[in-house]
Amino acid sequence: MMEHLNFQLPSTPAIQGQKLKADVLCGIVSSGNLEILVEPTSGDRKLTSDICLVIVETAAEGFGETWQAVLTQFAETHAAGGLSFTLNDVGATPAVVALRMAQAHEEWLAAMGVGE
Amino acid sequence: MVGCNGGGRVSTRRSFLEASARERVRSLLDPHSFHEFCPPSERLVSPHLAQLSLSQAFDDGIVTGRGLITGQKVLIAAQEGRFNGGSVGEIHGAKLVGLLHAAILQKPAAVLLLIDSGGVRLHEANAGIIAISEIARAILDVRAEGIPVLVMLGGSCGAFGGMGIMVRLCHSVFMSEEGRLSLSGPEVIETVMGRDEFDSKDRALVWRITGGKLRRALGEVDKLVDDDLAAFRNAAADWLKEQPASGLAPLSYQDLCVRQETLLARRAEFLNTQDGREILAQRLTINENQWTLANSDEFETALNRTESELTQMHLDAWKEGLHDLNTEDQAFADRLFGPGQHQLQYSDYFVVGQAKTLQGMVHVIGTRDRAPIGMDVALKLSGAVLAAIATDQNSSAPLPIVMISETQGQLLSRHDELLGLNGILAHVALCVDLARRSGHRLITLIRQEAVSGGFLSFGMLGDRICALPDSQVRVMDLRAMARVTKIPLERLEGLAKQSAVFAPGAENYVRLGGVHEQWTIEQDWVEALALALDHCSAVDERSTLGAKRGGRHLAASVAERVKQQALAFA
Repeated sequence: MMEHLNFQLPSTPAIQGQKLKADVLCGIVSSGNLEILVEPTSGDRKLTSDICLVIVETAAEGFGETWQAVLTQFAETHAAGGLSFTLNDVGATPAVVALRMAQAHEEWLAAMGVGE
Repeated sequence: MVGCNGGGRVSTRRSFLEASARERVRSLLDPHSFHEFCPPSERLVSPHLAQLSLSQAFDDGIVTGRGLITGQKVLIAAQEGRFNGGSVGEIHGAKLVGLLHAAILQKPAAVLLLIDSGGVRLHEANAGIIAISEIARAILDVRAEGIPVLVMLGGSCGAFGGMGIMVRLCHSVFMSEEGRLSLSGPEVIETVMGRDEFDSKDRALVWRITGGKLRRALGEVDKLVDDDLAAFRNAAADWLKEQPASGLAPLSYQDLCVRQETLLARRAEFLNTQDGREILAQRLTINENQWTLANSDEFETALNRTESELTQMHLDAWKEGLHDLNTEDQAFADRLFGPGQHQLQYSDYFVVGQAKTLQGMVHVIGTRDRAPIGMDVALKLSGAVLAAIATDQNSSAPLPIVMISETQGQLLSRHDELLGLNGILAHVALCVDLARRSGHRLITLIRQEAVSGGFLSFGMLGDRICALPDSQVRVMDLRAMARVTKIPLERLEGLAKQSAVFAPGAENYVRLGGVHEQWTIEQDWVEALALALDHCSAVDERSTLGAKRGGRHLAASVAERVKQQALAFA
């Protein structure tokens, strides 16, 4: 009933020349919604600063291609390298996922004291 | 959110109702002062939800931490009503217990609880109700230290089930009109009792039974607050300023007698009332159109009283209609105490008296005949407990109280919900707690069955909880559970056969540490009772017991983890 997906996507490093810290949680696990936990990947040497890691736990099975499309576009349009996004999803639409990803990214930057 | 207020001016108001638990916490505290304990990055997720292939949340639906309110240190917890209805599971509950235990050691200026919860998380029902019982004990311990505890209610889930009782264990409650506070949810009452009893689709009726304005007029809430984060923050700051620096005095026997009388008077004043409209009409100087539209200031101004007037003291009301035991109860009492060793009487669902054990005399107070616990039975229990405290007031060794818990759960009745059954059950719990603090040992005996609210507010508060052979312990009727969780009944019945955290059964509660021991048919109950009296501990050790017995691995360690993170800040 739950599907586990894992994406490693090329993305511009989130912040240059500064140690990434801070983690933020965005959104709520409820029907048609999702929560996203943003953390630096710096603990994992295999993940370089130009890779954005996305881990998805979703209640909606069989949407792997849609996730791939939405998340690839996010990684291309946002500087999210060196960050991991862990998602608990309860069937959010692609539009909601895209908005939440952008919001989570922005809140993480704010927590780092960087405005976009 | 931008909206129009009554004067037609445009104001910026951020709704408390619509905000998430984290937003509520941040907006209540001084800017940047919030520090979270066991934050989402620690991933304390519920293993029980995963087992059912259900979505988890990284904070298990509750935020715990510390911060400042106008410069004063407070501990704070907020439930996320949108995650599984803010329901209390093993981890969720343990986080709150850990925070409260930290408060006892750390003595903050206050503890703030932002309750937004339907009660027990039915997917892990047994672990959930034991967790709520541990929360009850922890709140009572915080109170005993004189630390003020404030509840703020205004979320979409309100406070129902066990959390409705928890709210009324605290010192003060602030609530918005949009909030709801009760025991059984309207849907549960409708499912079991039918639509004629309570039409859960009638939103206006639901709010006239459970909503903020009705609860305020009934005296179950201390202040009505507008649905506005800033209004809640200001109310909390003002409240904190009023708290004495030396701490609050613990509830006394006198305080609880006054409460007992007030609740009896309320019952008499609204004996046949079925709709909050009648209560609001009695308590307000304005008409229905006006109170419907009134904001919280206007509503507070229009209140002429919030309690029923006391005409006469009725502290002995619980003695009314008592008569000698029937044959079946006589046989039960003979088996428990020995023939001729007890003087018990009963009326309806209530049983009371004294008995002789191998350890000396005891009070016996309890329920029988699978009692549905409504306000009548509840007020008899609290009345009898207060009488036992009074009897032994000057004794150096107050007699133990044997609490016989036989209940099918709380009475499902719109009338009793309207009059605040959650608060009345909290009153029973406060009386039992006073008995413990007055030196009475408390032994609970579960006879036949012990279910949810009726068990939570009385039997579950025992120092030692013993289940008699063949007795049942559970949270809710499976049909009602199916409706609330939206899991098909057949699936629930299947799950009930496999899981200790979910399935009904005293043996499961023993494994989880929620019941200390189960007796057998062959055993000599007179000896078993004497042994149980010997093993009473006034300290709540159920979570360690659950870990030791392998049924509840996480409760103790998660509570300890929150506590340690809180203490690291001292």
